[in-house]
Amino acid sequence: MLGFVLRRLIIAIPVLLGILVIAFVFVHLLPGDPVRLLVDPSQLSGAGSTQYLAQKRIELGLDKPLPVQWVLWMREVLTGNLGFSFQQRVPVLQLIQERVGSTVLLTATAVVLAVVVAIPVGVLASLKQNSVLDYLAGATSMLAISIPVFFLGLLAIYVFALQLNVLPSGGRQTLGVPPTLSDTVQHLIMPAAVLAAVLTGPYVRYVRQSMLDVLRQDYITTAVAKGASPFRVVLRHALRNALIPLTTVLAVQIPALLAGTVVIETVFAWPGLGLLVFQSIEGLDYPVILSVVMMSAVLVQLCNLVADVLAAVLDPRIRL
Amino acid sequence: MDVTADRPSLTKGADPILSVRNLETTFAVRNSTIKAVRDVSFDLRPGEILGVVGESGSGKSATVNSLLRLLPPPPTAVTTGSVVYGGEDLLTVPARRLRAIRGKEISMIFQDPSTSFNPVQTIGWQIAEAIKVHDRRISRTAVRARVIELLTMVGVPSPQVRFGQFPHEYSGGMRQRAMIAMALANSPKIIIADEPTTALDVTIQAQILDLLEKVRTETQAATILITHDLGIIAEVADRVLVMYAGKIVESGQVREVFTDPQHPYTLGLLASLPRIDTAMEELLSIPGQPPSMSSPPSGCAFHVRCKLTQGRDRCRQEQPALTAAGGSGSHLAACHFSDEMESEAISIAAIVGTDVRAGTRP
Repeated sequence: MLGFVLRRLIIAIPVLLGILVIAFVFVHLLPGDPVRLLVDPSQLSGAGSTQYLAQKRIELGLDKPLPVQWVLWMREVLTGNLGFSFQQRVPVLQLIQERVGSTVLLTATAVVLAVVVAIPVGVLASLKQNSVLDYLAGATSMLAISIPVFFLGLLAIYVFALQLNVLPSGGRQTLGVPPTLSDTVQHLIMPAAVLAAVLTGPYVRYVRQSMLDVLRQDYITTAVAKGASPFRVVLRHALRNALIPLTTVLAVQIPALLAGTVVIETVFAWPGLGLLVFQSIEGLDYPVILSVVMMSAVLVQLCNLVADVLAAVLDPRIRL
Repeated sequence: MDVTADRPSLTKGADPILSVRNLETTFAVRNSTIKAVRDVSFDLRPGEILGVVGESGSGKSATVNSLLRLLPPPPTAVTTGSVVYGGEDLLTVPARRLRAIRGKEISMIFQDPSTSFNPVQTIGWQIAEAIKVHDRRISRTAVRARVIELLTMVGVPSPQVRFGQFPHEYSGGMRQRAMIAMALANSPKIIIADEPTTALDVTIQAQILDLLEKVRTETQAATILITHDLGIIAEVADRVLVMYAGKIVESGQVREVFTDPQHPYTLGLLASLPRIDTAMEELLSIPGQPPSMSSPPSGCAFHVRCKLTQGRDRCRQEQPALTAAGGSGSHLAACHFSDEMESEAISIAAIVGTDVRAGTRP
């Protein structure tokens, strides 16, 4: 097991380097010039503007050839320095540290919500195949898959914040008031629920299908023939086996969820990494974009590794 | 195949422990229905081994799975008739009562031990579960001791170690032994073994059959043994039911049925056995295919493959009833022309070179 983990971590290194090269190239291919976005617009024309912009470019290190820039950047990254944000003029690490807690809170809540809803619904749908409940679950999850997440977010804001006025429309806390748990929860409900819906939709279908596959197996009949109660057959035999593929699917879905947070955090003004990425791309803030891309790449690798390890833990037939 | 030897007959005259009457099982599949079991009636007597034989798709498994209501619920599978055990009809007892009977008084041994164990639980856990679901208050140590005792009894070596192993760490034969141990866990009155040796090597088959006989001797449990292998029936069964197209076409003591078959299908099965006492170029087979169970042939379902029919309308139009045949009261067959079986057997003997009926060789 330990050997497997080490091997996977070593393999991850060239993969990460490759991703960072590609990300670096693409970020620099983005249309627009970060220097022109940074400086006072009055400096963009008139006498000396060209020299001024060139001077700024040298200050930011953007004058060097791309490969040199990449190597310089990697050298700093490896020493733990993610650079300074062009826009906010603070270390990127500090920005990320400020934001990462919010995103973790949001995504963790969404994952828990999704699992808590999707597993019972999927299991019931599989047990009552082709019943009203099954069709209802299928239709609802299809709807959740089909509706764009930003629209779902706006719809939620319209209904719960504007019309019913029961939940705040955005942000993480009420401004000017010391943060309390209930205040945070109120702010969290809508973005987490919308993000959870994105995950729950497909997950209900995975759970249902995985359960249907397992319920057909001979060992389910064996369990019934032993005299085990339906409850026991479903939980201890069927669900226990169905969870093996479901854990893998969930672990692999989590990075995809991060992509969802970019939209959700923007719609709900949730001060997390997603919002940070959105703002950084708008402002061509290269160091921030690259740092978040790097974090995502590491997360994808980690989640895949966790998925494999969990599969081995849940399934005694798999030996790593 | 020696079926003429006397069997220990502990069962003569005893009241049946299980009484199946007019069992009918129908599966609903896309746009049609499959009548898998058609009007099956039989008794199981205490301590006997009742063999059920027939081709694939003849309704053997559907019959025994119907007994404990192990088939999918209606409308997918509908079972009618009655299965009386201990004065109760298993087809109508409440689910809770049925669960108390399953695995405790009537237990099952399944065909494929590699798929019949839960892959993610240890063998010990799974056998222990069979005990614990019927006795919630039993202590952990008592269960473990009982499981080890069972594994030892069925011949699993180093049971202490095997207890904690997963199904994939067992060989096929060992898994089937563990399956038998699980079936024996609560000392059931009836054991239903659905093709227990089909998925195993021939040498392992023999060991498992020996084990089943040993189990019968030690536990006095009545056994229903399903197989498509006539050799196994001859080896271990006391009585036999021959099934064709969801119906019982012949039943009786193994000796009667094998020495004096009264249904052409049974004779066909005997004739298609490989033999070493005559030199034959190829095996004799029953012509044609088993019938479609969504629309079984009219009249006698076997008439389309039967040499005895000879175009006679009666076979095509009238379903033969299972009635006394061959002289003894216990021997039943469902054929309009059972009285022509003797000459049919002789004509087959002319082809094969020897009489295919057991125990009648010169």
